[in-house]
Amino acid sequence: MMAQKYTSKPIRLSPAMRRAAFKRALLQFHKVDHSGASFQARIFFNNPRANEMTPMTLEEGYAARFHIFGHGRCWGDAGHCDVPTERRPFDRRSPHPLTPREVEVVVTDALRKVALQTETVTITVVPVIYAAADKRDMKDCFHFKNLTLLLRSSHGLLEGPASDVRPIAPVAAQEEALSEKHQAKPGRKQKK
Amino acid sequence: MSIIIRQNIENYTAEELAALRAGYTAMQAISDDRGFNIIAGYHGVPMQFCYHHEDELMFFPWHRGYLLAFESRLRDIDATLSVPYWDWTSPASQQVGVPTAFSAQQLPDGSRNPLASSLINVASTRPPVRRQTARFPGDPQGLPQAADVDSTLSESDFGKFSNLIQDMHDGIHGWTGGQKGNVPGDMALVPWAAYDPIFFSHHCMIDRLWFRWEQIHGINNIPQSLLNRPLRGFDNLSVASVVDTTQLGYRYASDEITVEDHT
Repeated sequence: MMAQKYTSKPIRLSPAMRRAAFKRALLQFHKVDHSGASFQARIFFNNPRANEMTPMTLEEGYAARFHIFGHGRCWGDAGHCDVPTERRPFDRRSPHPLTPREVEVVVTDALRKVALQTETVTITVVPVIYAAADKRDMKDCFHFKNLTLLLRSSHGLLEGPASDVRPIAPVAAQEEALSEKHQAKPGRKQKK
Repeated sequence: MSIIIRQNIENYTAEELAALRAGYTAMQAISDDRGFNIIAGYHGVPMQFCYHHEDELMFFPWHRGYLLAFESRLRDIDATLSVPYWDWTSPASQQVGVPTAFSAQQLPDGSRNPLASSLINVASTRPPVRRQTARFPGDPQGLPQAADVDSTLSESDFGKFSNLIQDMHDGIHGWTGGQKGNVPGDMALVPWAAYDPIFFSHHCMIDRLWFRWEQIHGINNIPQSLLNRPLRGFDNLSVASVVDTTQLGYRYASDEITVEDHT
């Protein structure tokens, strides 16, 4: 079952991108909510009509997928699933389990194909639901703050932990980052 | 003292499977802190000790400690037992999905299969929950293939490898739990996943992949800053204490032979 999909506005590709002068392309979604449904997120480039039946092939603009292992809903008392917006000094506890997560996927082949054909790219994410404890999540489950498209040149080495996405050896005009804001629904409230 | 060799559930003999089921049945009948219901509650509801994406590098170590704690309680009942792993990339799983050892609702004698479901009994949730677990797995074609797993093992960076496997792990949770009408399968949601008996065999496979990775890339190939971190819920375990499975008394069959049935 497909929930509401996300499609970015057209993102203009730079000359370097259009020459496909990159070795690796990464797409990052920031502050992705995982408090609700569990689903598979399928990413398509320049195919805003993509849905759960669309073949996951380069011809259809398929770029990558990732999974969300969700919490379903809140099973505690009021406030149990509210993620603190700031931490007090000396608070040694681990992050709240529902702290929004970072997602990074490799989209090199799909972006290279798009870059050689067009001047813009739209990013469509099709959430295919595995399970949802709240009916509202069946319709709308994919929430995140913004996304970043990162390119690596053949000179920019990918080293270090996966969470460190800063380019280590940026090369002018060959290493670019694009960001688009997709406002998450503010503060998912507990659903009882 | 001999070391445990954790095995593929598909290779269990009828006698081994019967003993395993007897162990799970006994564990599910215990309502105190030695029982299945309490240890299942460590993961999500009500204790929420697990680490997933809020602290990603702890994913492998914490679940290794958790699996060990579960297995220790199982072995308190029968010291010959260990947790079997579910290799979702195996030809059999690619064909039938969940192995029949876990999917059969009833045993030949008419009794309940303790590997198919377990009782969730949690009084502290709103509302309190008391019901059997449910599972609605998807099409077997949705499971990862051996090539998908093999490609991750070449990743030498612990964090990147952990993220690749965790994403695969997330998808299998969703696939195994699934949904029927308005009822979500328990494996698909973090709070309830560990109450489904297949959870521990899914995580045994995940742990086996870390074991295989350690054989290739070494047990010390892990950020040093992690080593002193305790494993939440297990005051006798830290990350450093779980990187070497031989120090924990187990390993995985690396030369396991699967005999094909040509009948």
